[in-house]
Amino acid sequence: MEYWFRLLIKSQGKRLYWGILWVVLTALSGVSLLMLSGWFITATAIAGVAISAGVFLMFDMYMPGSGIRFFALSRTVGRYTERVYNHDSVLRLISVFRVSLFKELSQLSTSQLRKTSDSEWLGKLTADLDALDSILLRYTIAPIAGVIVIVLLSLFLSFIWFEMALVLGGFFLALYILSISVSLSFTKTLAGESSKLLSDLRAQLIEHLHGAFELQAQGLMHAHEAKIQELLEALNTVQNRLNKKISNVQLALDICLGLGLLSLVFIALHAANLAQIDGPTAVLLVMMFMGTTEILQSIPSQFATWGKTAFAARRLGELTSAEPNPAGVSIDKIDSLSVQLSQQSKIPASHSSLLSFAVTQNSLLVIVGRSGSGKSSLANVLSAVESIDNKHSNILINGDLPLANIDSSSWHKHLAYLEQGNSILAGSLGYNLALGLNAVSEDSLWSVLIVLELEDWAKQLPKGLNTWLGETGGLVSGGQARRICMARCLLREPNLLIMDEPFNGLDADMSARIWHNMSDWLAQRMVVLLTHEQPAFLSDAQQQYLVSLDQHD
Amino acid sequence: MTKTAVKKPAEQDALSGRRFLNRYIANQKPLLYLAVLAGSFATVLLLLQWVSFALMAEKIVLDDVPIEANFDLLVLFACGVLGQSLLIRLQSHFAQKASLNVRNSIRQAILWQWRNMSPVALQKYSAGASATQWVEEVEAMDGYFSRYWPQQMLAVVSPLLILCTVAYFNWLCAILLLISAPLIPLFMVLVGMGAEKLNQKYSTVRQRLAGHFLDRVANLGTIKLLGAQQEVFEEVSERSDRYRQVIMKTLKVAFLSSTVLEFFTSVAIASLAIYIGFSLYGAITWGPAQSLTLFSGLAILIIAPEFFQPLRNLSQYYHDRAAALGAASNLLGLLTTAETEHLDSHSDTFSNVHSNTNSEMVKHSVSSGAQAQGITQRTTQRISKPADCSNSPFINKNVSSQNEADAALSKDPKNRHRLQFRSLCFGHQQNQALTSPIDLSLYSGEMLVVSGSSGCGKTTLLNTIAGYLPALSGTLNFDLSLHKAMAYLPQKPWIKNDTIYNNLAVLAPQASKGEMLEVLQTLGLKTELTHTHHGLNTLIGEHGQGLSGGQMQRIALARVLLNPAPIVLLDEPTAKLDVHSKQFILSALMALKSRVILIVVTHDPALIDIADIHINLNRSSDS
Repeated sequence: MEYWFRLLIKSQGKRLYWGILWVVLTALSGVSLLMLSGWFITATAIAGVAISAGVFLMFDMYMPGSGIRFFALSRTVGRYTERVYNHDSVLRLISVFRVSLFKELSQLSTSQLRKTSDSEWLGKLTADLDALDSILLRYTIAPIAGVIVIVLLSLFLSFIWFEMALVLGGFFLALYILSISVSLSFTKTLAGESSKLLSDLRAQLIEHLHGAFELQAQGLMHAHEAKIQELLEALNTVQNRLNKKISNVQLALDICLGLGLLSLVFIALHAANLAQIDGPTAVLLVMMFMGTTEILQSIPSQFATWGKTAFAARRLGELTSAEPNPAGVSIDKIDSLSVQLSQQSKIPASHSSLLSFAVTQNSLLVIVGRSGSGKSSLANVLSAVESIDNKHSNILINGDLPLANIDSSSWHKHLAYLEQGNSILAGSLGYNLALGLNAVSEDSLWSVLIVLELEDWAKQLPKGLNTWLGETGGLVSGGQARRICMARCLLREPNLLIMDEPFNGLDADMSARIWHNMSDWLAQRMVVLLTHEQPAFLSDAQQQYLVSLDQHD
Repeated sequence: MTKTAVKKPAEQDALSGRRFLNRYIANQKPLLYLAVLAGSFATVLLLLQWVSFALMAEKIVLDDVPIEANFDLLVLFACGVLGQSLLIRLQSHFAQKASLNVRNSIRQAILWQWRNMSPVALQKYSAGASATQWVEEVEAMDGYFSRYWPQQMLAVVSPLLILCTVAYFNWLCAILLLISAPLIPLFMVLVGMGAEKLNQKYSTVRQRLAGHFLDRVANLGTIKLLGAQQEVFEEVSERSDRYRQVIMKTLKVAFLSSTVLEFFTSVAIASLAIYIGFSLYGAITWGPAQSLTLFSGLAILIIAPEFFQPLRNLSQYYHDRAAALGAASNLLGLLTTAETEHLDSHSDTFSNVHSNTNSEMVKHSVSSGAQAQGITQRTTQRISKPADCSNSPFINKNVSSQNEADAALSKDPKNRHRLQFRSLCFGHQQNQALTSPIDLSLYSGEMLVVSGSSGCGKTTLLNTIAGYLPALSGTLNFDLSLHKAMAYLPQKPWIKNDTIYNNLAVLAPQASKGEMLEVLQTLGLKTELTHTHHGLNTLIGEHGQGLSGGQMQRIALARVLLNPAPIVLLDEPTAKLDVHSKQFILSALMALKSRVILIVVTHDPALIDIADIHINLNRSSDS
């Protein structure tokens, strides 16, 4: 919570003060309108009685009248301004939160990112950020403005009846603090529980929906819902209890305020009886109490969401607390790569013996290994997505520079890595191809599409390069997605290209054709090809450097 | 955009959204009416409270009666104050209960829809956005049910009660209130219409934003590899800002409605106060002014704001209504789209034929009419009209394995099922069938392999057979109920964030641990998992932490083997596997196919080799 409050003050400082000012002005106008009207009516009634009794009396009708009109107007204007202004602040704040969170996330290393699954990530990013919007209005502006209004009213009252001002001010402040702390302690845990259940439900639902293809076929969709039903049941119970607690706190507060009003009515009227204060002032006091009541009454519902916000803030905090990677050396180009791996837990071939190979300019290295032999781990290690396990291993760049010391963004500038899985972003085909490239001409996009035999497909798309590819790449078949990812790598014109199973999902004929189309381009680069079986289309020269990850026992 | 359903015009949406909400509210009416009743009584007590106060004030201030003599009024006042608190507590109790019930039934309805919807249709929505609808948007309806709905009734009842009281004291003041009252709904409607239209936009933007975030976060690894952080970072920032601007537009209009009310309240209090003040002073002598006393004047002044209060509350809850309507019309979009892509549509394609399978067996045919030029078969003794197929390069029939299957199955003919394709055409668009019609019969113990270049519709055919897509024309006949008759393994297998045990158990609930280990052994996974991982307790997840793609693929296949349905559909089961592990899969599939109708989509020549029937979709469309 603290982190977000600090961010709030840092980013919205000035807007915060203005926001409070508007709220205070609006609230004071409202209370003053009531006070002045009550006083005015009573005073005129007394004057009227006196006049009809024949007493000559000077009574200025017009000053209070214009005061009433002024407060009526200032309350209206104040309320509108306050709401628009403060809601704008809230949205600005959420935008700041969102952006700063995204920045933090992109600091994480890829392996850290994979610790959390997508569904949870989404939950954190949207639901949690939405929950934070209470921070500004409910927990900052409203309580501060409330205290200021109470203090100002007490100050005003102290000119009329000092003791009463002390008592009333004390009563309101005490009740204010008490109701906030009671609301918090009664609802915090339950609201947090409810948030947790909602987020668990969301994760379960996403998993459920992802499984639809398999579940539906076997008629198990309903059975798989059991966990969701169970959580929903729990959610209903928790929300029911939470509602009850909030309502009960509200009831207690209402009763306290009611008793306060009752006592005030008694005291004020009694004082008027004794002529300690005059009648109009007694009515004014009651009206003031009424006006202030409105400010206090909303506390339980306002602070009931604290648990939810705290839950969100805590989860977001976990995300942002990860240590950023230390900055490293940047490089201009990649000339050579020499690798010595031993005892890497995920690469069985390095367990007993040293796995050693090198890649030099304009050469192709083929790494063959069957499923589970650690191909993808090796590819991840080479592309610095994962770091190496221990001190016995070494990856040296350009002769003597350890990979671990190189700044990863500088490394990725010269490297293209075709991962085993395809990742198509929700966006146009052109967006997907050009992602991360500053300036790329449409011609070069098309020429790469020709190499990958995607040209005909892209041309018949409804909007060509601007065609939206669905969120999960719905419009794109597995083989097309593979080739789009490959096209991305080609467009980057890397020094070093690492391809993990590039021909996954492609038939042998097409793989051979594409390989042929690419070979001139590949010949000018350092290429590491990881595959489960040696492709038939490799020329003899291309098979020169071959490393096997399979252990022959 | 393909990921969200096509939107209808905004007004129509809001209208049907309201109908949607009303349908769900119907069952909870009694609770909601109780809430309204409690709220109305609270207004009565409010009147009691302030009338008794005004009377006390008059007696004490003007008549100098000591407060002790007004004890009865003080008691009335106290009853009013405390009774109100209790009634409001009751009101929220009933309303919240109703809201909880309604939300629960809406969620159940969505689950029901998902349960009965084709996964292909379901895939059009991002899972994240769908989950947001179910979780957040339904949650956002709370305010509508627990606050807005009772309040819209109270906004009529309470002002009426107050108006009557005011009229009793002074008809002119009542008329003043009455004049301002009809103006309010008018203004609110004007303002509300604008807000509603804008809110439609808000709801879509919000959903799109959620989808955008899921997508970019899921691909953050790729984004980093491509060095596109800055680009995407700006995108996120730009999206957030657009979000703010759109919402501010809605809010500015929405707040106007509460400002209108605020204005009326303030003006009414001000003008009443001045009118009453001047009357009491004696400056106004016409009309009912002379009958005004401090008692009636004060009572009117204090209860006048309460005349507007229910309306003010209503306008405060107005965004609850807008949010609920927006959410409802989004849900409606989901529910109506679902109707057209319901699994029931399957019955058009599928007819369950309970035929005598034994006699049909002999005629077992890969029949082909003139339209099925693409069908060939190698040689066969049992095919009735071999000549039919000689000129068809499209379907291949391999006989040797068939005989084995026949031998195995003839022992137990009861388990022999037939799946028949009758002039089946499939594809996504009505006039764009992806192949010429397919005519073919498949029996338990046979394996159909579908091959073809990437993008030619192999998966589409599989989805059609699974009943997830309606066939363009023609039918599929199966002699059993389709329910639970199939196992489907998609290209990208579904992996739960859970242990391997739970991943297997979810689709094979009755399999024991022993059986699981046995199947993992068959697939060559057992040693790998028990040595380097924690066996069945190994945790795996959406990105397959700790296991390679090939291992995940085999775990997904293990599920199918553990719970074989009469028809098994596999999409590229060997795509990520090396020769070594492929052997395990091949022998597992060989064993499996003797029991089931096995349909496999693949590029893998090894799988094509063991097929009884082979369809090459490329050759079909070329011919």
